[in-house]
Amino acid sequence: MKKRVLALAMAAMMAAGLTACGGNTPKETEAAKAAATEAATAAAENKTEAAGSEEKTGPYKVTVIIKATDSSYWQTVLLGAQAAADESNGEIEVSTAGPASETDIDEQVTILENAVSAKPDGIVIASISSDATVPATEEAVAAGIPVVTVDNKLATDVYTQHLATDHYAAAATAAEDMLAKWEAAGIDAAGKKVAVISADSGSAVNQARCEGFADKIKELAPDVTLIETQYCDNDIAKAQDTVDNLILANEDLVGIFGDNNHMGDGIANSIAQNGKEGSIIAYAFDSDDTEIEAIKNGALTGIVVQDPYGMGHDGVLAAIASLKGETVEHDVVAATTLVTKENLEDENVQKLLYPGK
Amino acid sequence: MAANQKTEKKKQNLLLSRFQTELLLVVILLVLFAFFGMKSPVFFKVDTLMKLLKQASIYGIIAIGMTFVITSSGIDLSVGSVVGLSGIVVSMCMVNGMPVLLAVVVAIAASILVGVFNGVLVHDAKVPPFIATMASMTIVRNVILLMTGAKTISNLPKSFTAFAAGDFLGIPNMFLTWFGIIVLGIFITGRTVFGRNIYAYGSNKESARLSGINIRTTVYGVYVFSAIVCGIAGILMAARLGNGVPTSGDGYELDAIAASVVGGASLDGGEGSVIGTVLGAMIMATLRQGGTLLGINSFIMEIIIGSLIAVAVVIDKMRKR
Amino acid sequence: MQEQKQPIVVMKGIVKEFPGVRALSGVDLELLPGEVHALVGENGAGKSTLIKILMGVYTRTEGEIFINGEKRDVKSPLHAQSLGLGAVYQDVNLAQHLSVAENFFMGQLPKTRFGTVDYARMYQETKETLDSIEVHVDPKALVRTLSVAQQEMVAIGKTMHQKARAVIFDEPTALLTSDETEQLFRIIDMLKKNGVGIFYISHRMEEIFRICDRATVLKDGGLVGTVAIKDTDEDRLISMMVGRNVDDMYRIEHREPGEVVLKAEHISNGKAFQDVSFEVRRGEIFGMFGLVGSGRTEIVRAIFGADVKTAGNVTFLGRDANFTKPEQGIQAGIALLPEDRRAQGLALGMSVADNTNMVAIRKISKGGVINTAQGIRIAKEYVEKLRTKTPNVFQKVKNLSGGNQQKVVISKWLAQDSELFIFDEPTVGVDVGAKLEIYKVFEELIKEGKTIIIISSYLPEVMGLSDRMMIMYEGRQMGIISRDEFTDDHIMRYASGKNGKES
Repeated sequence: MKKRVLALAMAAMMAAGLTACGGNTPKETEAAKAAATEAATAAAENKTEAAGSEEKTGPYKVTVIIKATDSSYWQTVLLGAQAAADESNGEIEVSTAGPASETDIDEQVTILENAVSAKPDGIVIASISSDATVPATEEAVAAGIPVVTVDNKLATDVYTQHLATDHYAAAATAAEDMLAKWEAAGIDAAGKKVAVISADSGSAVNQARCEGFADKIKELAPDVTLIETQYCDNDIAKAQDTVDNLILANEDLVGIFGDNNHMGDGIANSIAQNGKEGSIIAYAFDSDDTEIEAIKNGALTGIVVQDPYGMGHDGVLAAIASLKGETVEHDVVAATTLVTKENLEDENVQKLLYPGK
Repeated sequence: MAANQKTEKKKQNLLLSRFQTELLLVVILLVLFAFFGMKSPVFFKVDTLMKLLKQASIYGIIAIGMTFVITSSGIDLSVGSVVGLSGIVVSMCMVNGMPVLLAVVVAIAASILVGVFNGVLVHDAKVPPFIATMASMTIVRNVILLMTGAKTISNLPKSFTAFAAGDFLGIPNMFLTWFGIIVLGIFITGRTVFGRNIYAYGSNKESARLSGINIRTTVYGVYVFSAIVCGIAGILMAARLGNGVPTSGDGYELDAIAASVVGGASLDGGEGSVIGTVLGAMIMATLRQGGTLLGINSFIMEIIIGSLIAVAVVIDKMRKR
Repeated sequence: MQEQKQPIVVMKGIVKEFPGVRALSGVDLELLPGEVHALVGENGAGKSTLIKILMGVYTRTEGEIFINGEKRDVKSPLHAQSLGLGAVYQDVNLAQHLSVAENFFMGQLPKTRFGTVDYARMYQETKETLDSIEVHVDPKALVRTLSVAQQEMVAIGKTMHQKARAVIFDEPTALLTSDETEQLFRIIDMLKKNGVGIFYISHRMEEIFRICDRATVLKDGGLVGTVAIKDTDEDRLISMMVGRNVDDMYRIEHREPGEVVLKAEHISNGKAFQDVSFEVRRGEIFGMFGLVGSGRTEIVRAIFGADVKTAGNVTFLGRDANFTKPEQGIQAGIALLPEDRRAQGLALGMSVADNTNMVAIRKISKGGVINTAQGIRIAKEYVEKLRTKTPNVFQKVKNLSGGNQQKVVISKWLAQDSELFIFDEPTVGVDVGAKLEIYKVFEELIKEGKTIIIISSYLPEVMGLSDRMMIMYEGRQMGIISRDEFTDDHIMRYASGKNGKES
């Protein structure tokens, strides 16, 4: 109930915000118009080729549905999607929506259903649940609306493209690096402990990350003990408390993995306050300012960074490509990068960390 | 009845009857301490205990405000949002160059606004407290998201964040803040006209009105008090996280209600105890910490906490019968 | 014939111990078919504990219970019901939002062959039961829309419907007008003729002597004795109860009235009362009599500031006193002791001390901070003064008996030092001993130059206590008469809306 009200208010707010943005940039619109003439030829060609395409009067309308509006990660997906639209010289228009928080499965289903009813030209969705959004997605595809799923894979094959990070494999890169860092720091991890801190026990993505990390550790360092996964409701303070307690209880704690940026914040705070920099090697998934700061001062060793900007951008383009009748690959793995102190200042890494800047 | 005999015994019973709920909770807490102390070698270390106090502080502070509201036969679902609001306001003010103290004052003022808003809805507009504070919870949370664009506010001054990590003579500042609020809460509920009026109003609105109690002051008072302590909790939270986090405090209302109810507060109003609430918050924090120390599965821990809430309330009801 | 002689209920040597308290010590009780058996005693004597044991609410510590000659353990109220025991409590416990018929059939709704509720049958059977005791209430009516009296009749009907052989009436007339009381007595008479046994708990001696066959007297948890009503009289019964002689219940020392303290001129409040004017003098006890709903309560609430009035003018102590908030009335020196003390007069979950100091809290506080020790001292003072029976001033008020609760309400207004005390039904549900003490308070108040307005539905009480009396009927003031004009006949004629001059 609460989440629903919240989400509706957010959706309304964002819609208003976007219209306002459009209105506020007359220069851009004009530039777009001028460029549109240039692009017209190419577009016309594409159209003739497109199988069964109707007479297209306006720009392509793509609805982008994210998992949560309260997260900068998902806001970055929107940035990427918006960039795809901006680059298209008016050929593509993007509208965005999403529930307020990543726990609102119902709400997201409602948003998707409403989006399908509005009959856009394409849908890009980062689905919270792997199952709940399946019927609406299949309905959309059946109605000729291409659906590109990003981030989370649905339990169906009826989609246009799935573009996602391989969370399991990406998390494993953190585990590999952990071993290297132990060696470099002269830590003998044999018989010692590693903890996994999870934001959400109900999410397949978070599960994949935790398992990917844990399985790799088991494989490479079978003599390391993994502590029971601790769940922290995506609450930084809870993650911080939990790590505090783990440090108290386990003097031989040598590694921690957090499955998202809030967990990373909590882990970093705790390590810094307990003065455990260097003696506990810690990684987290996804980035935010606190984590980047923590990498600089050593509280976090590294973070696995996805490319949400790229996903938003490429997701929209894939939908359009499909509309135009081009063949699109069914499953695409998006690249991830392990960011550590060593590569933090690299230009491409900075782009990933500060998309749109 | 046979009042003359057993006077001595009655005096003892009297002391017991006034603090029975609290005694029960102390026993539960001691049992938990004994259990975790036996099972975990680090549980009785000073550092562990200080961390426990720290971890209980933010919930504990909110729960005291909640106890005031529940005692007045209301409920405040907006506490989590006020925690978030105050944390964001204090962070925004500071990153924009405002001195720390002034930023704190502004954050508390913003929290008070929410309290007054709740008071107006409940007292003047006669909206049931559950609905009124649910509305303000939603409104405030979204105001926060609107203000921040859902982005975390970083780079808070070190002088500010150091407070949450710091201690005085080895006792964490966060607990000291909580302790101050506990003392204040006990004083208000036990020794002030406002405090007694909360109980009078909570147990019987009509008799309170006919006794000349100022209803407006009482209702506004409890919601504003709750908002102020949540404001303080929000500031502590921002200092602790080193960031203003827009989602912080989300869902905290449930833990606060649980601590309050385990502590003997009745959702029918008229009953509630600051000490009981403090013990309730401590019990929940002890369970959570102990669970992590022993590496108990966190789902099992939450089941235990849920059962504890049910058991504590049932025992209390049976005892009062 | 044999069955008629066998007692329906026999309780032998019943002992009940609560932690630290012996509530009953070896009480015997017997109920014969067709008998109305009064259970009397001051509050705290153990009547309700005994009844609760019989009804399966409490379990006894020692003793035996026989129902229809068989030794039984009454395990729960539901079990009691199945054994043929029914009860009609003072605050009738019916489901307010359900219909009369649904209350009758609660837990055993009849089904049609389609599995839906058989309302036709429910309404039919309910109507038959109600008709059999001459209660005319629509079975479809929601209980909350009924008057207190009707609800009580419905509750009786419900016990009949459940084929109760013994019915317990706990203060059944407390909230009834005299007409309604008459109807209740007719119903009791009918039940009696049908061989139903009745336990009748009441503080009203008049009623006991009218309808009861025997009385069992309890005092301090012990059995004083069982007597046949025809072999005793009111004084003897009361002295059994209180252990002392009662000469005249209402004899108090009156005082020569002084100047006018309160003056109401043509006050109205919509439908509740219209165009009421009267004066009350210092040191006077001014009675207000009328049936329930005649507007008495509404008048005093309007004067106090608890309700607003729509017209007219009130002066108090020579000053304008058109109050709109209770605070104003209290400030001016008016005390209102409301009719329903549990719902309006007390915070039941709070202590005697808290309740005592609730109004006069400013007197024991400075800058909003209370001097707790002083508050406790004041509370103790009034406990002693009014002889309130409570283990200590920290006792929660809900654990006190009706009479002692009323004393706490009185304490809280005495502590405020008011000038005018308005008592609305001060002795409802109060036992004889406490009643006398409350009257004693009246006496002391007027001796100190205070003024009293008393509202009562119980005519002997208003007649016995008042210097003058205003009689209300349906929101209209029928007349004000002084003590030498008080006769039952005269007053009842006014109160039933007939003009006194008609013969």
